Amino acid sequence: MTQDATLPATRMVPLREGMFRMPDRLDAPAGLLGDRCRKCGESFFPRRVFCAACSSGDMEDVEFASTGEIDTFTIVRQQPPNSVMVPPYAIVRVKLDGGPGVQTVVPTEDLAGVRIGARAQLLIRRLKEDDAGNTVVSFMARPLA
Amino acid sequence: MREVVVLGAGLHRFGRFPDKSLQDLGREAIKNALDDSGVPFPDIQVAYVGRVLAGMGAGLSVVSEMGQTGIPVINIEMACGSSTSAFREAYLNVANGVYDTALVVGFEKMQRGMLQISEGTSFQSVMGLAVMPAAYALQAQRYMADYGATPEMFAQVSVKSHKAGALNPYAQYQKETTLEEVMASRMIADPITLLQCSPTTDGASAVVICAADKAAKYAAKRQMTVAGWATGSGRYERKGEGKGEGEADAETGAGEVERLAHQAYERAGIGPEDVDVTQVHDAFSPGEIFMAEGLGLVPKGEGARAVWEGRTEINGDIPINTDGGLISRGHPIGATGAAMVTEIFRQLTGEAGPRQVKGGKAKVGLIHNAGIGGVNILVFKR
Ligand SMILES: [Zn+2]
Repeated sequence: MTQDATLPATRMVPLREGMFRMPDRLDAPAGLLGDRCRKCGESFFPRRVFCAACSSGDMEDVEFASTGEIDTFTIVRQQPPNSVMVPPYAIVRVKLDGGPGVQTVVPTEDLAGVRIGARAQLLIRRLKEDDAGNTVVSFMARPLA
Repeated sequence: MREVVVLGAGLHRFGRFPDKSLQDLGREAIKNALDDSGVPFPDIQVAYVGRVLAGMGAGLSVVSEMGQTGIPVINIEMACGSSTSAFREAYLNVANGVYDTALVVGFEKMQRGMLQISEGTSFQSVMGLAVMPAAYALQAQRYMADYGATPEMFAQVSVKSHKAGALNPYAQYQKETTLEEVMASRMIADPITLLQCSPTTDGASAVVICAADKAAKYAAKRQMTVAGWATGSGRYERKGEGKGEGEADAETGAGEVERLAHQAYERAGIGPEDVDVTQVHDAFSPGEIFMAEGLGLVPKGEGARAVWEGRTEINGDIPINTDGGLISRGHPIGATGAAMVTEIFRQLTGEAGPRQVKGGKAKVGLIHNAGIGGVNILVFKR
């Protein structure tokens, strides 16, 4: 029997609780969990308790589209302290379809195709293993050909 | 509010001084500023201190090196904008008659390596998103796409900055560099190479201010007047899209600067066309370009070309960062703002020596200093 590469060897845990809908396998589309202001309509990721635009506390939870367009990018070439990402990797700002702009990373193997205006898919990717041996995952972008 | 003047300024050279303490650095800068102003330390009524990384009560431990006169010593922190925040508080209190004289101090000792801008355990840190040069690089990439600027134009900021730094005995780097060297230095975050990043630095700066009507008794041969100011933090701009946490838009965003510059110009009764010499926060090379535009010194989209054509050099029509700026003078974060005031003081009093702009006839100086969380603008007149 061939092993499915998208099934993690150990239990998957999110980098931070409540940031995205947790799938049962790696490389699944990442639905980011944010919120929208009922008063002024502005949407946010990560969630805010009070709206940054109008300070209203009347917020509703939203799951955003996992696709969007790369608005800008840079390639990080030097290891930042405390990060598990290995350079070179990209930082991209993705304007999600019908949602807010979010910053995330593109790992080395997906760098081809990173450019302003490219379509991108947010995916749940392996970030690291924690002390308990769990597979820690977070959302990353992959440019669509 | 009454008129307030700067009577003197002084620095401890910027660089790396592992064998010196904060007290050593601060004492020298304060002594130089007091001597420059003619104001004896016992006449100083209050001290405002910009500092970031030092521990509790660091301001008092440095200022009291000059004597224990019982004055209030107020510690102020706004990351890389700390000592212009200290300057503004000192200015407002003197202008409002609370004190007649005030000392502004900035100091810092820094570790080598990338500056930590977020809690080490935040998701941005772990995911590699909390990278300061990347905040500038993301905007630089967008700027290149929008306006057809090239990586060489950003690199030219560093060439120009080193050329000015070579003329400044207080600068961390006093050596010129070529466009080829800047472009060939290690890539940090495209298009920003190592020589386009401000270094980590040890240093100290100090400025003495006084109510204009109390200044006559001091031996200062010359002075400059505080003509305008503005300060604020990043304001949410409704674009139909949220901004992700960790974006330093107040620091790199020209929009915020436009709003504050307008306020400062209005208070000073001038426009950007009246400015003779400018200091901007070039923590990374794109900073000079974005801020030249944000301050209205050049139209939007023309900043990169202005640098490329030499317009921001010491002998250009809009001289910027004549002391080498953050990139070459160095960036000891708490000390940077008061060092900017020091350079504008030298320029407006005609004491800038080989760095002097406009044949010593400069009348209006402008400062933009930013830190995570906010922006300070200051306008001075001779
Ligand atoms: Zn709202």
